[in-house]
Amino acid sequence: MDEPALIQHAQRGDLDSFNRLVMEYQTPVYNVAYRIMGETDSAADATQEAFISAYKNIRSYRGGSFKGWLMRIVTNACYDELRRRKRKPASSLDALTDHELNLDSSDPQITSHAELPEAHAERSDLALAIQNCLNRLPDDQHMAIVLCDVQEMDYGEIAKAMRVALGTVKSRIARARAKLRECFSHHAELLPAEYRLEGKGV
Amino acid sequence: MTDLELLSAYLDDQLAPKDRAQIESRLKTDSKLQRTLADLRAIKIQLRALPTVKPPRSFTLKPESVRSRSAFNWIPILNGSTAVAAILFAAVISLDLFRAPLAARQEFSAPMQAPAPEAAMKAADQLTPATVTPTRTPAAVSAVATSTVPVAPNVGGAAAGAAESPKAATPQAQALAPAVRSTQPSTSDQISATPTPTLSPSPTPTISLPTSTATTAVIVAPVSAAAQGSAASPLLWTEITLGSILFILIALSLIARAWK
Repeated sequence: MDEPALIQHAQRGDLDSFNRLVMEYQTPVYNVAYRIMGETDSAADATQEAFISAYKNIRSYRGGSFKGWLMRIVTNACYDELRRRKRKPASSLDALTDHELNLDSSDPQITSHAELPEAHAERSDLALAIQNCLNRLPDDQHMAIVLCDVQEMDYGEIAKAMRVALGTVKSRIARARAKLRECFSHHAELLPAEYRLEGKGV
Repeated sequence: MTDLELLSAYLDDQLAPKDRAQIESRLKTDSKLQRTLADLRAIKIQLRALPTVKPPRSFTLKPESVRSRSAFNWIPILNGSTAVAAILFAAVISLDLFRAPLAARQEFSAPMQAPAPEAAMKAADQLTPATVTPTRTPAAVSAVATSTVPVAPNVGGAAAGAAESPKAATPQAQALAPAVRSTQPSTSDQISATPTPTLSPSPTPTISLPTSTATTAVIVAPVSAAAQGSAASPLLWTEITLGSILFILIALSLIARAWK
Protein backbone atom coordinates (compact mmCIF):
# COMPACT_ATOMS: atom_id res chain seq x y z
CA MET A 1 0.00 0.00 0.00
CA ASP A 2 1.40 3.35 -1.03
CA GLU A 3 0.09 5.29 1.94
CA PRO A 4 1.25 8.81 0.93
CA ALA A 5 -0.29 8.40 -2.55
CA LEU A 6 -3.57 7.16 -1.08
CA ILE A 7 -3.64 10.09 1.33
CA GLN A 8 -3.01 12.53 -1.53
CA HIS A 9 -5.81 11.01 -3.60
CA ALA A 10 -8.13 11.07 -0.59
CA GLN A 11 -7.28 14.72 -0.06
CA ARG A 12 -8.50 15.36 -3.61
CA GLY A 13 -11.82 13.71 -2.71
CA ASP A 14 -11.14 10.15 -3.92
CA LEU A 15 -13.32 8.07 -1.61
CA ASP A 16 -11.95 4.73 -2.89
CA SER A 17 -8.43 5.72 -1.85
CA PHE A 18 -9.70 6.78 1.55
CA ASN A 19 -11.57 3.49 1.94
CA ARG A 20 -8.33 1.60 1.34
CA LEU A 21 -6.83 3.54 4.24
CA VAL A 22 -9.91 2.69 6.31
CA MET A 23 -9.44 -1.01 5.63
CA GLU A 24 -5.81 -0.75 6.66
CA TYR A 25 -6.44 1.03 9.97
CA GLN A 26 -9.95 0.06 11.03
CA THR A 27 -8.75 -2.72 13.37
CA PRO A 28 -6.41 -0.59 15.53
CA VAL A 29 -8.85 2.32 15.45
CA TYR A 30 -11.72 0.07 16.50
CA ASN A 31 -9.58 -1.51 19.24
CA VAL A 32 -8.79 1.86 20.79
CA ALA A 33 -12.48 2.72 20.69
CA TYR A 34 -13.39 -0.67 22.17
CA ARG A 35 -10.91 -0.36 25.04
CA ILE A 36 -12.06 3.17 25.81
CA MET A 37 -15.79 2.64 25.44
CA GLY A 38 -15.80 -0.86 26.92
CA GLU A 39 -18.53 -2.25 24.68
CA THR A 40 -18.99 -3.01 21.02
CA ASP A 41 -21.87 -0.80 19.90
CA SER A 42 -20.46 2.44 21.24
CA ALA A 43 -17.01 1.45 19.95
CA ALA A 44 -18.41 0.84 16.46
CA ASP A 45 -20.27 4.16 16.51
CA ALA A 46 -17.15 6.03 17.63
CA THR A 47 -15.06 4.30 14.96
CA GLN A 48 -17.53 5.19 12.22
CA GLU A 49 -17.68 8.78 13.45
CA ALA A 50 -13.89 8.90 13.50
CA PHE A 51 -13.54 7.77 9.87
CA ILE A 52 -16.24 10.15 8.66
CA SER A 53 -14.53 12.99 10.53
CA ALA A 54 -11.15 11.91 9.11
CA TYR A 55 -12.50 11.98 5.55
CA LYS A 56 -14.06 15.40 6.03
CA ASN A 57 -10.87 16.81 7.57
CA ILE A 58 -8.22 14.95 5.62
CA ARG A 59 -7.08 18.17 3.95
CA SER A 60 -5.92 19.35 7.37
CA TYR A 61 -3.55 16.39 7.64
CA ARG A 62 -0.02 17.77 7.26
CA GLY A 63 2.18 14.70 7.32
CA GLY A 64 3.56 12.70 10.24
CA SER A 65 2.09 9.45 11.47
CA PHE A 66 -1.24 8.88 9.75
CA LYS A 67 -2.08 6.24 12.34
CA GLY A 68 -1.38 8.72 15.15
CA TRP A 69 -3.59 11.28 13.39
CA LEU A 70 -6.41 8.73 13.18
CA MET A 71 -5.90 7.81 16.84
CA ARG A 72 -6.32 11.42 17.85
CA ILE A 73 -9.58 11.59 15.89
CA VAL A 74 -10.98 8.38 17.37
CA THR A 75 -9.96 9.51 20.86
CA ASN A 76 -11.94 12.72 20.33
CA ALA A 77 -14.91 10.74 19.03
CA CYS A 78 -14.80 8.58 22.17
CA TYR A 79 -14.50 11.70 24.33
CA ASP A 80 -17.62 13.14 22.66
CA GLU A 81 -19.50 9.89 23.15
CA LEU A 82 -18.51 9.70 26.82
CA ARG A 83 -19.67 13.29 27.33
CA ARG A 84 -22.99 12.41 25.68
CA ARG A 85 -23.27 9.43 28.03
CA LYS A 86 -22.75 11.68 31.02
CA ARG A 87 -25.56 13.91 29.82
CA LYS A 88 -27.76 10.78 29.48
CA PRO A 89 -26.75 8.63 32.45
CA ALA A 90 -29.47 6.02 31.76
CA SER A 91 -27.81 4.84 28.53
CA SER A 92 -24.45 4.67 30.31
CA LEU A 93 -25.89 2.45 33.00
CA ASP A 94 -27.43 0.21 30.36
CA ALA A 95 -24.07 -0.15 28.66
CA LEU A 96 -22.38 -0.97 31.95
CA THR A 97 -24.99 -3.60 32.75
CA ASP A 98 -24.54 -5.19 29.34
CA HIS A 99 -20.84 -5.29 29.89
CA GLU A 100 -21.15 -6.76 33.37
CA LEU A 101 -23.37 -9.48 31.92
CA ASN A 102 -20.79 -10.21 29.24
CA LEU A 103 -18.16 -10.87 31.88
CA ASP A 104 -19.51 -14.36 32.39
CA SER A 105 -19.35 -15.30 28.73
CA SER A 106 -16.43 -15.67 26.40
CA ASP A 107 -15.82 -12.88 23.92
CA PRO A 108 -16.45 -14.28 20.43
CA GLN A 109 -14.76 -11.41 18.72
CA ILE A 110 -11.25 -11.93 20.04
CA THR A 111 -9.18 -12.80 17.01
CA SER A 112 -6.71 -15.37 18.32
CA HIS A 113 -7.91 -18.80 17.19
CA ALA A 114 -4.66 -20.74 17.48
CA GLU A 115 -5.11 -21.55 21.18
CA LEU A 116 -6.72 -24.52 22.84
CA PRO A 117 -10.31 -23.83 23.97
CA GLU A 118 -9.29 -23.78 27.66
CA ALA A 119 -6.46 -21.35 27.07
CA HIS A 120 -8.75 -19.21 24.94
CA ALA A 121 -11.38 -19.19 27.69
CA GLU A 122 -8.78 -18.19 30.28
CA ARG A 123 -7.47 -15.44 28.10
CA SER A 124 -11.00 -14.25 27.49
CA ASP A 125 -11.77 -14.20 31.20
CA LEU A 126 -8.58 -12.30 31.93
CA ALA A 127 -9.23 -9.86 29.09
CA LEU A 128 -12.77 -9.25 30.30
CA ALA A 129 -11.58 -8.82 33.89
CA ILE A 130 -9.01 -6.28 32.74
CA GLN A 131 -11.59 -4.51 30.61
CA ASN A 132 -13.90 -4.44 33.63
CA CYS A 133 -11.15 -2.79 35.67
CA LEU A 134 -10.55 -0.29 32.85
CA ASN A 135 -14.25 0.54 32.70
CA ARG A 136 -14.24 1.46 36.38
CA LEU A 137 -11.64 4.18 35.83
CA PRO A 138 -12.61 7.83 35.43
CA ASP A 139 -12.85 8.72 31.72
CA ASP A 140 -9.70 10.84 31.62
CA GLN A 141 -7.55 8.18 33.29
CA HIS A 142 -9.18 5.43 31.24
CA MET A 143 -8.34 7.15 27.98
CA ALA A 144 -4.79 8.01 29.02
CA ILE A 145 -3.93 4.46 30.10
CA VAL A 146 -5.45 2.91 26.95
CA LEU A 147 -3.44 5.22 24.71
CA CYS A 148 -0.29 4.58 26.73
CA ASP A 149 -0.40 0.86 27.48
CA VAL A 150 -2.76 -0.56 24.85
CA GLN A 151 -1.81 1.63 21.91
CA GLU A 152 1.76 2.28 23.11
CA MET A 153 1.67 5.97 22.34
CA ASP A 154 4.25 8.17 24.04
CA TYR A 155 3.31 10.91 26.50
CA GLY A 156 3.71 13.68 23.91
CA GLU A 157 1.28 11.99 21.49
CA ILE A 158 -1.19 11.36 24.29
CA ALA A 159 -0.99 14.98 25.40
CA LYS A 160 -1.76 16.05 21.81
CA ALA A 161 -4.60 13.57 21.42
CA MET A 162 -6.20 14.55 24.72
CA ARG A 163 -5.29 18.24 24.40
CA VAL A 164 -3.77 18.43 27.88
CA ALA A 165 -0.34 19.22 29.31
CA LEU A 166 2.37 16.58 29.55
CA GLY A 167 2.28 16.74 33.36
CA THR A 168 -1.44 16.01 33.30
CA VAL A 169 -0.82 12.93 31.18
CA LYS A 170 1.83 11.68 33.64
CA SER A 171 -0.50 12.20 36.57
CA ARG A 172 -3.50 10.53 34.88
CA ILE A 173 -1.48 7.49 33.87
CA ALA A 174 -0.01 7.09 37.37
CA ARG A 175 -3.43 7.37 39.01
CA ALA A 176 -4.93 4.93 36.51
CA ARG A 177 -2.21 2.41 37.26
CA ALA A 178 -2.75 2.79 41.01
CA LYS A 179 -6.46 2.08 40.60
CA LEU A 180 -5.84 -0.82 38.21
CA ARG A 181 -3.38 -2.27 40.70
CA GLU A 182 -6.07 -2.34 43.33
CA CYS A 183 -8.66 -3.74 40.92
CA PHE A 184 -6.28 -6.42 39.59
CA SER A 185 -5.60 -7.60 43.14
CA HIS A 186 -9.26 -8.72 43.26
CA HIS A 187 -8.75 -10.86 40.14
CA ALA A 188 -5.42 -12.37 41.18
CA GLU A 189 -6.54 -15.90 40.28
CA LEU A 190 -6.88 -14.87 36.64
CA LEU A 191 -3.39 -13.45 36.39
CA PRO A 192 -0.35 -15.58 35.55
CA ALA A 193 1.61 -16.43 38.72
CA GLU A 194 4.56 -14.23 37.80
CA TYR A 195 2.28 -11.21 37.44
CA ARG A 196 0.16 -11.59 40.55
CA LEU A 197 0.00 -8.29 42.33
CA GLU A 198 0.30 -7.59 45.99
CA GLY A 199 -1.87 -4.48 45.80
CA LYS A 200 0.13 -2.84 48.56
CA GLY A 201 3.12 -0.61 48.74
CA VAL A 202 3.43 3.03 47.61
CA MET B 1 5.70 14.43 42.02
CA THR B 2 4.57 11.49 44.17
CA ASP B 3 6.51 8.22 44.31
CA LEU B 4 3.76 6.56 42.29
CA GLU B 5 4.00 9.19 39.55
CA LEU B 6 7.80 8.90 39.59
CA LEU B 7 7.65 5.10 39.27
CA SER B 8 4.97 5.26 36.55
CA ALA B 9 6.95 7.76 34.50
CA TYR B 10 10.12 5.74 35.14
CA LEU B 11 8.40 2.66 33.77
CA ASP B 12 7.51 4.57 30.59
CA ASP B 13 10.99 6.07 30.35
CA GLN B 14 9.56 9.56 30.69
CA LEU B 15 11.71 10.88 33.54
CA ALA B 16 14.34 13.59 33.34
CA PRO B 17 17.89 12.19 33.87
CA LYS B 18 18.13 13.75 37.35
CA ASP B 19 14.82 12.22 38.53
CA ARG B 20 15.71 8.94 36.91
CA ALA B 21 19.04 8.72 38.76
CA GLN B 22 17.31 9.59 42.01
CA ILE B 23 14.62 6.90 41.72
CA GLU B 24 17.12 4.26 40.61
CA SER B 25 19.22 5.05 43.66
CA ARG B 26 16.18 4.63 45.93
CA LEU B 27 15.07 1.42 44.20
CA LYS B 28 18.37 -0.24 45.14
CA THR B 29 17.52 -0.07 48.85
CA ASP B 30 13.74 0.32 49.13
CA SER B 31 11.97 -3.07 48.80
CA LYS B 32 8.51 -1.48 49.02
CA LEU B 33 9.32 0.73 46.06
CA GLN B 34 10.61 -2.32 44.19
CA ARG B 35 7.31 -4.18 44.77
CA THR B 36 5.28 -1.24 43.56
CA LEU B 37 7.38 -0.98 40.42
CA ALA B 38 6.93 -4.70 39.81
CA ASP B 39 3.15 -4.32 40.13
CA LEU B 40 3.03 -1.39 37.73
CA ARG B 41 5.16 -3.32 35.25
CA ALA B 42 2.80 -6.31 35.50
CA ILE B 43 -0.19 -4.04 34.79
CA LYS B 44 1.56 -2.58 31.76
CA ILE B 45 2.38 -6.03 30.44
CA GLN B 46 -1.16 -7.26 30.95
CA LEU B 47 -2.65 -4.28 29.16
CA ARG B 48 -0.26 -4.69 26.25
CA ALA B 49 -1.14 -8.35 26.08
CA LEU B 50 -4.84 -7.65 25.66
CA PRO B 51 -6.02 -9.50 22.58
CA THR B 52 -6.87 -7.59 19.45
CA VAL B 53 -10.62 -7.37 19.01
CA LYS B 54 -12.02 -8.00 15.56
CA PRO B 55 -14.18 -5.13 14.27
CA PRO B 56 -17.83 -6.20 14.01
CA ARG B 57 -18.14 -4.77 10.50
CA SER B 58 -16.34 -2.79 7.85
CA PHE B 59 -16.13 0.95 8.41
CA THR B 60 -15.55 1.91 4.79
CA LEU B 61 -17.54 4.96 3.80
CA LYS B 62 -20.31 5.03 1.23
CA PRO B 63 -20.68 8.06 -1.04
CA GLU B 64 -24.22 8.78 0.15
CA SER B 65 -23.24 8.71 3.82
CA VAL B 66 -20.40 11.16 3.22
CA ARG B 67 -22.67 13.42 1.15
CA SER B 68 -25.40 13.44 3.76
CA ARG B 69 -22.90 14.08 6.50
CA SER B 70 -21.12 16.84 4.64
CA ALA B 71 -24.42 18.60 4.01
CA PHE B 72 -24.65 22.29 4.65
CA ASN B 73 -24.05 23.24 8.27
CA TRP B 74 -27.07 25.21 9.47
CA ILE B 75 -25.88 25.81 13.01
CA PRO B 76 -23.93 29.07 12.37
CA ILE B 77 -26.83 30.46 10.33
CA LEU B 78 -29.33 29.52 13.02
CA ASN B 79 -27.11 31.08 15.69
CA GLY B 80 -26.77 34.31 13.68
CA SER B 81 -30.50 34.50 12.98
CA THR B 82 -31.29 33.90 16.65
CA ALA B 83 -28.91 36.70 17.65
CA VAL B 84 -30.49 39.14 15.15
CA ALA B 85 -34.01 38.20 16.25
CA ALA B 86 -33.01 38.63 19.92
CA ILE B 87 -31.56 42.11 19.22
CA LEU B 88 -34.67 43.19 17.30
CA PHE B 89 -36.93 41.81 20.02
CA ALA B 90 -34.94 43.66 22.70
CA ALA B 91 -35.14 46.88 20.63
CA VAL B 92 -38.91 46.64 20.23
CA ILE B 93 -39.38 45.87 23.92
CA SER B 94 -37.16 48.87 24.78
CA LEU B 95 -39.21 51.08 22.46
CA ASP B 96 -42.37 49.88 24.13
CA LEU B 97 -40.95 50.56 27.58
CA PHE B 98 -39.86 54.02 26.41
CA ARG B 99 -43.38 54.71 25.19
CA ALA B 100 -44.95 53.54 28.44
CA PRO B 101 -44.20 56.75 30.39
CA LEU B 102 -45.75 58.84 27.59
CA ALA B 103 -48.83 56.70 27.62
CA ALA B 104 -48.92 56.91 31.40
CA ARG B 105 -48.75 60.70 31.15
CA GLN B 106 -51.69 60.68 28.76
CA GLU B 107 -53.59 58.40 31.05
CA PHE B 108 -52.75 60.62 34.00
CA SER B 109 -55.23 63.23 32.84
CA ALA B 110 -57.84 60.67 31.85
CA PRO B 111 -58.27 59.22 35.34
CA MET B 112 -58.61 62.76 36.63
CA GLN B 113 -61.51 63.24 34.26
CA ALA B 114 -62.71 59.67 34.09
CA PRO B 115 -64.58 59.61 37.39
CA ALA B 116 -66.08 62.93 36.48
CA PRO B 117 -68.10 61.72 33.50
CA GLU B 118 -69.89 59.04 35.48
CA ALA B 119 -70.50 61.30 38.39
CA ALA B 120 -71.36 64.19 36.20
CA MET B 121 -73.68 62.12 34.02
CA LYS B 122 -75.46 61.01 37.16
CA ALA B 123 -75.58 64.54 38.35
CA ALA B 124 -76.84 65.64 34.99
CA ASP B 125 -79.59 63.05 35.12
CA GLN B 126 -80.65 64.34 38.47
CA LEU B 127 -80.34 67.85 37.28
CA THR B 128 -82.69 67.39 34.37
CA PRO B 129 -85.34 69.50 36.04
CA ALA B 130 -82.99 72.40 35.74
CA THR B 131 -83.25 74.06 32.43
CA VAL B 132 -80.81 76.33 30.84
CA THR B 133 -81.41 78.76 28.14
CA PRO B 134 -79.01 80.54 25.96
CA THR B 135 -78.24 84.06 26.72
CA ARG B 136 -76.01 86.72 25.44
CA THR B 137 -76.16 88.76 28.57
CA PRO B 138 -72.69 89.09 30.06
CA ALA B 139 -74.21 89.76 33.46
CA ALA B 140 -75.57 86.25 33.61
CA VAL B 141 -72.12 84.69 33.42
CA SER B 142 -71.43 85.34 37.05
CA ALA B 143 -74.76 83.83 37.94
CA VAL B 144 -73.89 80.68 36.02
CA ALA B 145 -70.61 80.34 37.78
CA THR B 146 -72.19 80.69 41.16
CA SER B 147 -75.33 78.70 40.54
CA THR B 148 -74.06 75.71 38.63
CA VAL B 149 -71.03 74.76 40.58
CA PRO B 150 -72.59 74.61 44.04
CA VAL B 151 -75.48 72.55 42.74
CA ALA B 152 -73.58 69.33 42.42
CA PRO B 153 -72.69 68.70 46.07
CA ASN B 154 -76.33 68.83 46.98
CA VAL B 155 -77.45 66.58 44.18
CA GLY B 156 -75.83 63.47 45.53
CA GLY B 157 -72.61 61.86 46.58
CA ALA B 158 -71.90 60.64 43.08
CA ALA B 159 -71.68 64.15 41.80
CA ALA B 160 -69.17 65.15 44.40
CA GLY B 161 -66.22 64.11 42.27
CA ALA B 162 -67.26 66.31 39.46
CA ALA B 163 -68.17 69.25 41.59
CA GLU B 164 -65.24 69.00 43.95
CA SER B 165 -62.86 69.30 41.09
CA PRO B 166 -62.72 73.01 40.55
CA LYS B 167 -59.69 72.65 38.27
CA ALA B 168 -61.74 70.56 35.87
CA ALA B 169 -64.97 72.38 36.26
CA THR B 170 -63.97 75.99 36.45
CA PRO B 171 -62.13 76.40 33.13
CA GLN B 172 -64.95 74.73 31.32
CA ALA B 173 -67.41 76.78 33.16
CA GLN B 174 -65.52 79.84 32.09
CA ALA B 175 -65.37 78.67 28.53
CA LEU B 176 -69.03 77.92 28.40
CA ALA B 177 -70.09 80.89 30.42
CA PRO B 178 -70.91 83.22 27.58
CA ALA B 179 -73.44 80.80 26.23
CA VAL B 180 -74.98 79.47 29.41
CA ARG B 181 -77.45 80.91 31.79
CA SER B 182 -79.53 79.27 34.43
CA THR B 183 -83.20 80.15 34.24
CA GLN B 184 -83.97 78.69 37.62
CA PRO B 185 -83.30 80.15 41.00
CA SER B 186 -79.82 79.41 42.13
CA THR B 187 -80.58 77.19 45.12
CA SER B 188 -80.42 73.47 44.80
CA ASP B 189 -83.64 72.94 46.72
CA GLN B 190 -85.45 74.91 44.15
CA ILE B 191 -83.86 72.97 41.36
CA SER B 192 -84.85 69.59 42.72
CA ALA B 193 -88.30 70.85 43.55
CA THR B 194 -89.06 72.08 40.04
CA PRO B 195 -90.49 69.10 38.13
CA THR B 196 -90.98 70.48 34.64
CA PRO B 197 -88.16 71.90 32.77
CA THR B 198 -88.76 74.40 30.04
CA LEU B 199 -86.56 74.66 27.08
CA SER B 200 -86.64 77.98 25.41
CA PRO B 201 -86.22 77.94 21.64
CA SER B 202 -82.95 79.31 20.62
CA PRO B 203 -80.43 78.81 17.75
CA THR B 204 -77.63 78.84 20.24
CA PRO B 205 -76.78 75.43 21.75
CA THR B 206 -78.06 74.97 25.25
CA ILE B 207 -75.60 73.27 27.53
CA SER B 208 -75.61 72.70 31.25
CA LEU B 209 -72.23 72.64 32.90
CA PRO B 210 -72.25 69.16 34.43
CA THR B 211 -73.51 67.59 31.23
CA SER B 212 -70.99 69.36 29.11
CA THR B 213 -68.19 68.36 31.44
CA ALA B 214 -69.30 64.76 31.22
CA THR B 215 -69.59 64.88 27.48
CA THR B 216 -66.18 66.43 27.08
CA ALA B 217 -64.59 63.88 29.37
CA VAL B 218 -66.37 61.00 27.70
CA ILE B 219 -65.24 62.22 24.33
CA VAL B 220 -61.68 62.95 25.38
CA ALA B 221 -61.09 59.57 27.00
CA PRO B 222 -62.02 57.39 24.02
CA VAL B 223 -60.14 59.64 21.67
CA SER B 224 -56.95 59.38 23.69
CA ALA B 225 -57.45 55.62 24.11
CA ALA B 226 -58.02 55.25 20.41
CA ALA B 227 -54.91 57.30 19.74
CA GLN B 228 -52.89 55.01 22.02
CA GLY B 229 -54.46 51.88 20.61
CA SER B 230 -53.76 52.82 17.03
CA ALA B 231 -50.07 53.41 17.87
CA ALA B 232 -49.64 50.49 20.30
CA SER B 233 -51.33 47.87 18.19
CA PRO B 234 -48.65 47.52 15.48
CA LEU B 235 -45.98 47.56 18.19
CA LEU B 236 -47.73 44.81 20.10
CA TRP B 237 -48.06 42.73 16.95
CA THR B 238 -44.37 43.29 16.19
CA GLU B 239 -43.47 42.12 19.71
CA ILE B 240 -45.62 39.00 19.39
CA THR B 241 -44.24 38.18 15.94
CA LEU B 242 -40.61 38.75 16.92
CA GLY B 243 -41.08 36.80 20.16
CA SER B 244 -42.53 33.86 18.24
CA ILE B 245 -39.72 33.95 15.68
CA LEU B 246 -37.13 34.12 18.46
CA PHE B 247 -38.72 31.17 20.25
CA ILE B 248 -38.75 29.07 17.06
CA LEU B 249 -35.13 29.95 16.23
CA ILE B 250 -33.93 29.05 19.75
CA ALA B 251 -35.79 25.73 19.54
CA LEU B 252 -34.30 24.99 16.08
CA SER B 253 -30.78 25.86 17.30
CA LEU B 254 -31.12 23.51 20.27
CA ILE B 255 -32.47 20.72 18.07
CA ALA B 256 -29.66 21.21 15.53
CA ARG B 257 -27.01 21.06 18.27
CA ALA B 258 -28.54 17.97 19.86
CA TRP B 259 -28.72 16.28 16.46
CA LYS B 260 -25.12 17.13 15.68
